[in-house]
Amino acid sequence: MKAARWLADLPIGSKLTLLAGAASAIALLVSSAAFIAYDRATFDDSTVRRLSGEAAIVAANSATAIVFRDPEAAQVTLAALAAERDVTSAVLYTMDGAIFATYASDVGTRDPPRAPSDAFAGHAFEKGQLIVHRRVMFEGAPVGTLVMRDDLTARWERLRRYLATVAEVSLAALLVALLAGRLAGRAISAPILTLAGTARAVSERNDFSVRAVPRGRDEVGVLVATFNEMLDGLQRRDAELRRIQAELEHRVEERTGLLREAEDANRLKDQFLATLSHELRTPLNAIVGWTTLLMQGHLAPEAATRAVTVIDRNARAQTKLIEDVLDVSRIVSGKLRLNARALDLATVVKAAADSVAHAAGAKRIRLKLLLEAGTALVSGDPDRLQQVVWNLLSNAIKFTPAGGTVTVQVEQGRAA
Amino acid sequence: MVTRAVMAAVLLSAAPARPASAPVPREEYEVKAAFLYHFAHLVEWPAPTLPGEPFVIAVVGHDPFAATLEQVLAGKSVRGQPVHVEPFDGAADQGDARIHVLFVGHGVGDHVRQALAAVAGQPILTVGDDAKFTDRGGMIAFRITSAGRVAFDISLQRAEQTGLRMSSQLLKLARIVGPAR
Repeated sequence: MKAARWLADLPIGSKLTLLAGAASAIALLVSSAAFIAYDRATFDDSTVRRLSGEAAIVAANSATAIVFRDPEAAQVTLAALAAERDVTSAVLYTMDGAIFATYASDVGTRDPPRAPSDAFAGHAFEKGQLIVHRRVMFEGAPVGTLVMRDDLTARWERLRRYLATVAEVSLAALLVALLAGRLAGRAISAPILTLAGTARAVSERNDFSVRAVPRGRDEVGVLVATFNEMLDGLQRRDAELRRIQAELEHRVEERTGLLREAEDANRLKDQFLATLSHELRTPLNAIVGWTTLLMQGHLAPEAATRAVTVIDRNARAQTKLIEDVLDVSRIVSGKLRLNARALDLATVVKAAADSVAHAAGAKRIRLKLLLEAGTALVSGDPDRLQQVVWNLLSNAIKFTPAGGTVTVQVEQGRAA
Repeated sequence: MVTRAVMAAVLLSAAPARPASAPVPREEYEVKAAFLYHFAHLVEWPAPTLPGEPFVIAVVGHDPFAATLEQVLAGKSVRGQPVHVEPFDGAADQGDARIHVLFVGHGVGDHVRQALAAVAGQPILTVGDDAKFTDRGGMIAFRITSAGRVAFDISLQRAEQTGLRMSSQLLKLARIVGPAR
């Protein structure tokens, strides 16, 4: 479990390196083991054959020495085995089992090879040694037995050399495999790392405009291409979202403006209504007051006349006010109709001035008209225009201190 | 080999020679009989062998060796030829058969020279029980080494002059005497 986890956490490069190394190591081990086993079998075979041949020659050359009972001669024949490094000892036995002659390069270190049992002939591997037996024949009859012992030094030497070579080659192959694995790993993991870096950039900075650079058309290349396509989609959607968001904000702003406007309008309307009520009540106060006095019948005739005049003026003023309110209502509902015709502005201003002359006189305000008859001929609705001018003059008189002057001047301006 | 031969010579000269009249142990005769038989296998005779022809070993002198020889070689054969042990009758041909080996025993005195003269030049292997047999004109002489082992000298030149061929396996065990080849 731990190993699996460790393997899972290992970078791809290291995984590939490990894989390459393990694969080559296993291949080398298996093939080396097979080769060594095969070679050993072959080598043993050839050793047996060589030694058997050797034994045959020595036995043939020893036959007469045995029959003529000349151990010294046999000794000389056996001594030739010194050329065989691995033959450590050889013994010639006579048929009655007595040692006839011996040769030993391992004198004193080991007992001579045992006398053969009759049943045994040929060779045997025992205790890391090869024992070869050979009957010594003279004229078709056995006269003795040659026993040779080979301590297989060459075999162990060869095995050691093989193992050393295998170790060297394995080490070299392993290094090459590791290098190849590292290179392959880099080739594979580098694009993935680049891709991961791009993905991180995207997730950290929400920047959908970056793109991973494709390096090839392998699996990783496909992944990179797909990733980029995904980014395309994300970028499009992001842009769309931003656009919609901006639009919504704009709309909200718009709505907020409208709302404020509506609120303003409402407030103005309230203000207007308050003002209107006040304006409508002012003349009514006078009318109601004087009417009450009249009805009590205690007024002198001059006072009654004055009362009726005040009532009349205030009733007219209120009528005018109501007409104005109706006009405003008409303007709002678009029902106001202007009767446009050619008119002289001076006439209109003079008419308006006449209608406020009384009010001006009451405050000792001097109305100064600077008019040139016939100079201001325009097209318009004379009643409305007169109304506008009257409004202006009324306000002017209202807010001018007593004894002041209100000047009305009509002059021809430059046509726009 | 040279060293060994010299050593053997030194040892031989140092060893006290056995008096000619001293009896030879029977065991030694058995060994010599076996040697004689083995010689027959290691020597080639020039003339082809005829079918049914016996391998004749002729013995000179009344020697107890002859009896031993007969016992040891009874029923044996050399290259398919049955071995016959016969007393030497003074001629190269014993009756119908040729002689292959002429054995000269101990203490035969003048008979040695007569016997050798009778077979001179013939392809007959002459073996003597006397260490000086080769000096007297024989081919192989038995001798006893200082260690008491039976050994033999071979006069190779004399043997080859008669057309006999000796195996190297035999020669390597012998002390070669007489002129070199």
